[in-house]
Formats: sequence, C-alpha cells, structure tokens
Amino acid sequence: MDRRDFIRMASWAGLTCVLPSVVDPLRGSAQSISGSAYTGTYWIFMHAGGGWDPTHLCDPKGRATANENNPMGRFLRSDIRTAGNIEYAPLGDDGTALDAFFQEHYQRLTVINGMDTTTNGHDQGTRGTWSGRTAEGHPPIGALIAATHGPNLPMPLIGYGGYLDTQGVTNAVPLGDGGLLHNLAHPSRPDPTGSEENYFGHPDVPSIIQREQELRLLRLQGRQRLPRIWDGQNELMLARLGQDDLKRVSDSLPENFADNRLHRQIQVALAAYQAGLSVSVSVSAGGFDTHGNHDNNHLPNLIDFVNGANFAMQEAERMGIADKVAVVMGSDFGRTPGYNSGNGKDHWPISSMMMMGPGIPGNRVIGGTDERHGLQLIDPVTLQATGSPDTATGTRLSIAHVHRALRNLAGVPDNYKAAFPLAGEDLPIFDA
Amino acid sequence: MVLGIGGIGGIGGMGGMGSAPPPPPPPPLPEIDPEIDPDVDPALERAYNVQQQVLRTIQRRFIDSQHNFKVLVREIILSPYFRAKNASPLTSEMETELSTFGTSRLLTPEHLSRKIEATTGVRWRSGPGRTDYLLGQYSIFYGGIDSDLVTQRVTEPNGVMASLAQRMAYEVACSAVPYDFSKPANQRLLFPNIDRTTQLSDASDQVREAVRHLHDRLLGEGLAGSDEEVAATMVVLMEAYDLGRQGLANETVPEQLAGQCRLFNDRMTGASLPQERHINRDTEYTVRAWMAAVSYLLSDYRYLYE
Repeated sequence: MDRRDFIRMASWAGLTCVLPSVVDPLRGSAQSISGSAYTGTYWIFMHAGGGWDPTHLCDPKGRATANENNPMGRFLRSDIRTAGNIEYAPLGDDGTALDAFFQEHYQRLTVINGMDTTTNGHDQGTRGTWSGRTAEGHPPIGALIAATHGPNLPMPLIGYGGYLDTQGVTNAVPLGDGGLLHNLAHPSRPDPTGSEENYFGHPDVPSIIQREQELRLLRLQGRQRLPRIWDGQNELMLARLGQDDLKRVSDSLPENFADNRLHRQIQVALAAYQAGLSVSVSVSAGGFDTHGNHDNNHLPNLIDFVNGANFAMQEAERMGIADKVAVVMGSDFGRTPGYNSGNGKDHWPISSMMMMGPGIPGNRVIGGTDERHGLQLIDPVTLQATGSPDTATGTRLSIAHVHRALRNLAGVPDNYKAAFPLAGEDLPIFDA
Repeated sequence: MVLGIGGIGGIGGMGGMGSAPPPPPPPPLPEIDPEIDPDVDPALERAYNVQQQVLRTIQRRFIDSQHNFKVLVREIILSPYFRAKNASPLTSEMETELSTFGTSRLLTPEHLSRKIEATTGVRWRSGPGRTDYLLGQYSIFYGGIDSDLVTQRVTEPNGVMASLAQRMAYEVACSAVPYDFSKPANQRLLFPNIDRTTQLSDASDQVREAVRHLHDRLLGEGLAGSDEEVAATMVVLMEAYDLGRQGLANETVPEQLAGQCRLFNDRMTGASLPQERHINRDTEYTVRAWMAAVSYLLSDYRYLYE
C-alpha cells in the first residue's frame, strides 16, 4: 500500500482519531511514513548524445598493423585490453584510460554488441535506444520503471537529458544540480547553504506558521462535506509530508559537489534515491557526433562518459547502496567503420549497450560484430554471434530485444507492455 | 449527470413574472426514468433520480404558481441540496452521490503567479525585469510544462511543490509586507487600516480587523472578527510577535530585516524610493510578525487551490 492510499484509508476511517497519528501538528512536525520510501533498484540511464563509437569502447577493433589502410581505429589490435571475458579499447595516452571502469566493474557488467538500431537518425536512434522503438509514441524505459515502482513519489524519474518523452506515464523532474534542492529543503532560509538565518530573524517562527497551517487544514477538512474538495485538502496534507523527505535529500547531498556536471547530477539523483524519493534518472553527455577529427574529439568524451559510470558506482559504494544501483549506458547509434576524409566518423546503425546492476549477470558479452563492425546474427539461446546475415542463421539482435529484457527485469507490468508493445520475442539476455 | 442547483433556474424560464403576454410553453419535464449509462455507480444513479424528482416538484410548483419567482427561490432554498452544508457526516453512499460536486484544482504555476501579483501587489521574482520564478526556473517543479521534455501537468502536489509553495509564501511575504506598509494607506492592498508602527495586541480591534482584511484579500473569506480562523491567524501573528520581541530584547534577533526584505527600491519598477518609504529596520518586530501572518495565509489551501 502506498503512502497516499494509506493515509486516505486511515483518514476516511476517522479523520480526527487516526490522522493525528500520522500528522501531529501540535508537535510542529510531520512524520514520514517509512513504508512509502522506494528501496528497490535505482536505475541510472546514461545517454551518450550524438552516437558513440563502440569500436573504441566495448567492441574494440583497431588495426592489425601500423600501416593498415582504412583502419577501424588507430590503436593496435594487439593492444586491446581485457577484463575477464570483456574486451575494451586501449584509450588514453598509455592505453589505460578505461581500466578504472572495466577492471573495477567487469564482474557486474553485461556488454551487448552488434545491436541493430535500424537507424542513422539522431532522434530515431535516441528514442529507439531508450524506448525500444525508433518510432514516436513509446516512453523511455526509465519512465516505465518509475511509473511502475514510484507513481506517487515526488521525483520518480529525474530527467537531466536523453530521451524523456514520457508519454504521460510519469513526469521527468529536472532536479537541478543541487542548489535548487537546498532551496526547497530549507524554504525559510534566504541562503540555504550559507547562514541558518531565516526570513523572520527568529528560528522558531517558521514552525509556528507550519503548525498553524496544519491545524487549519484539519479544521477545513473537518468542515468539508464534499469529497472532491476534501480530497484536494488531503493532497496538500500529503504533499506537506513530503517536505521532510526533501530535507532528507538535501541532507544526503555531499558537502562538496563534484566539478563535473554529469557527476553532480548523479550525486543529486543518488541522494534522491537514498531519501526514497526516486526510482530512476536519465543523464546525458554530448560531444559524440564527431563527423570530423573523431579521435581527438570523440575519445576524450568517451573516457569522461565511462568514468561517469565509474563515478556513479563509487558514489553508490560511498553511500552504501552499490548493490541497489543499476547503470545502463547507450547512445543514438554507432559510427561508421573507418574514417572519412575529415578524419571523422559518420552514422552507423550497429551499436552497443553496457549495463550492470541487480539481476544483470556480470563478465558477459552478448552478440558481436565482424572486424568491420558489421552486423552478425546471434543464437537465440546462447546469444553468441553466429555470423553474417548472408551466410549464417540466427536472430538479428534488436533494440526491442534488449528492452523486452529490461522491462521483464524491472518488473514492468503487462498493462504497460500492452500499451507500448515491442517487436520480436523474449531473449534470455539477463539469464546467467 | 447530476445537475447542480444552478441549473434549475432555466427550467421554467424567468420571463413569466408579469401577467400580460402569455408565457411561453414550459419545456418538457425531465424524463421520469431516463436511460443511464450502465457503468454509472448505482448510488450515483439513485442520487440522479432523487434529484430529478426534486427538480420536477420544483418545476411543477413554479408553473402552478403562475411562474412566481419568489416561489421558485423558496423551493430551491428549502430543497435538500441547498441545505447540504449542514448535512450530517457522510456515509460511503453519500460520498459517491456528492463526488461530482465542488471544485478543488491546484493552481497552475501561471495562475498562481498572476494571483500573487493580483493579491499582494508584488511579483515573485528576484527583481524587476526578471522572470517570475513560477514562469521560469520553478515552473516545471510546480507542475508546469515546457512542451518539450515535460508535456503533462502535475495536478496533484508533491513534496517538491509543497516546499516551493512554502518558499513562495515566505519570499512573497518578505517582499510584499514592507512594500505595502511603505505606501500611502489608500494605496495599500494588504494593510489599508493599519500601520507598521501600530502596536500589536490580541485585544486590539484594529489588529483583528487587519487580520480579517487579510483573510478577505488573500483567501476570499468574508469572516466575522470573532471567527475562529481570524483567531488562528491572530495566534500566528502574536506568537511570532512575542518571540521576536523577546529576541530583540535579549539581542538574539537582529533589528535589521533580512537583506531580501529590506526596501529601498520600488519592488515593481526598481526605481529608487524616497527616504521616507525606506524600510530597513524592524525595531518592534511588527513587520516580521505581519510577514508571518501573511506567509501563513499565502501557503493556505484556499490560496493554492481554487
């Protein structure tokens, strides 16, 4: 039973005798109802905006020799690094820039390679990667999960970027990067992060106001005979209970915010989760649409992006919630094999995703591509690549397959699945 | 489905009060046994039928009285619907019957923003020329839409929105109270009958009248001075006043207003105000006590909902 239903039921059962056990205005504070806090998996969806290059990440190709014509990348295949069963590209000056992420997390990481996004369009690709369908009309997976597990939470889906067309199943709350939260958590303070002084110059005046507000609301409800208006008054009372929750978010924020914007957003989102108020967050980093000068522009962004996921897990560790956090990384689509005349890479529909978290097997690579990042079919049971569509039999791994599995893993109910159907069949993507 | 009382006046028309021209034929009586959607709750259907009976009775008496408007008014007033205000506690069936009556709509950020200006004379923003908070940085958080990423309004408040409303109440009071006191009495919206130098007292009729005016101005409540809601607002005012004065006496409360509340420039235009309108200090704690009372009312259900 959620908080709203609980209080509604309790209140209807007898406002004057039951409600004060939940809200005690005479003591000037509202008690939060612990059962309402969300404590399930926290889903962090990370979007690499513009189309990332999996051949420089988790589906590394490189080149056989330094003299190879039209190479896939400028690193040598022999330098490709491994962490368990997972290969990754040797980025950075010494080739170890991705080590921190892969070496630390490969045992929790599933890599999906050779995924056919079926598009070279940014909007279609972004929609497809995060909703499972390139056409308009489906909400992002983060919204479905938030609507499933936190329909009454104040910030079920925190939306900083990526695909956020929720189709009305929930709203994406852009929570700012910390300052706003402090403002809301301490509404009586002109400078919430500085002085504790409030607008009245006396620390107890706001509590007088709030105490009398609650008493007045109870009086209004006591006189009210029209259920619709009574419900509205009840809504406001419930919402005021949530004000204390915001203080919990604010209190969960670290003393010092990270300098990096992506990191700050992750910090706020994790604090919201720790306060039990949020189910998922969608963050985004740009700079991946590198039609020119690909290596110099794209690869540093890729390193930052992956390190963002590493930061999320480190923060989750610090907060003691690492075993509750799922991170899912994806992008619009991939980038063309080889370099164009401007040393850039253009759009390519074959892409990858990486994910880890509760229920997601680790040290696992699903699907694959050929040495030119061409599509390969997969065995629908083992999920290993069987070869080119021209010569092999098997299943074309689609973004819909991935989302069917994500929906099942996250417990998205049948009514949402029916309302936003996905093509294809269920594949054992998260079966260990 | 179930009609409100306001619909009754149209049944027989009101043009027949005189006797000269023949009255137009009355419209047909409501169906005695109208077709009801099978999905409608039985309690609601019963309520509808009962209401139809009442309407038919009123209509018949109105026609029989030669369209005497006094009869119509009397019948409406004596009907059980008009007297519903004093009904006994609701049963679950009555809840269903009454479920379509009344409105309780959380104001949108756009509505609330306009209401703040209309009722207090100030806008909630960081300064003249700036965008109102509820139309800018706080719009989405208060359930607004940007027609891009956020396309669905939040119509049921949450903790974020409640906190925003609370912050709005404090900040608008901080802005509006000194500003209103600085104006000539006949231009004031909030305090036309009292000055910031007026000593506050529970026994003061002038203070009670000022509180009564605030209820009227901000909440649309026409209350008697003896009403318990006036008394409750007096509690806020006087408790804050007493605490503040104690704090002033033992020097734990500053005489100066918080920086955001000090008044040197016109809140709306930014123009420099003459010295006599400056409000910087609050040596008697009256300004801040009134800020507390106004904050209490600005965050009230009847301010935030309509």
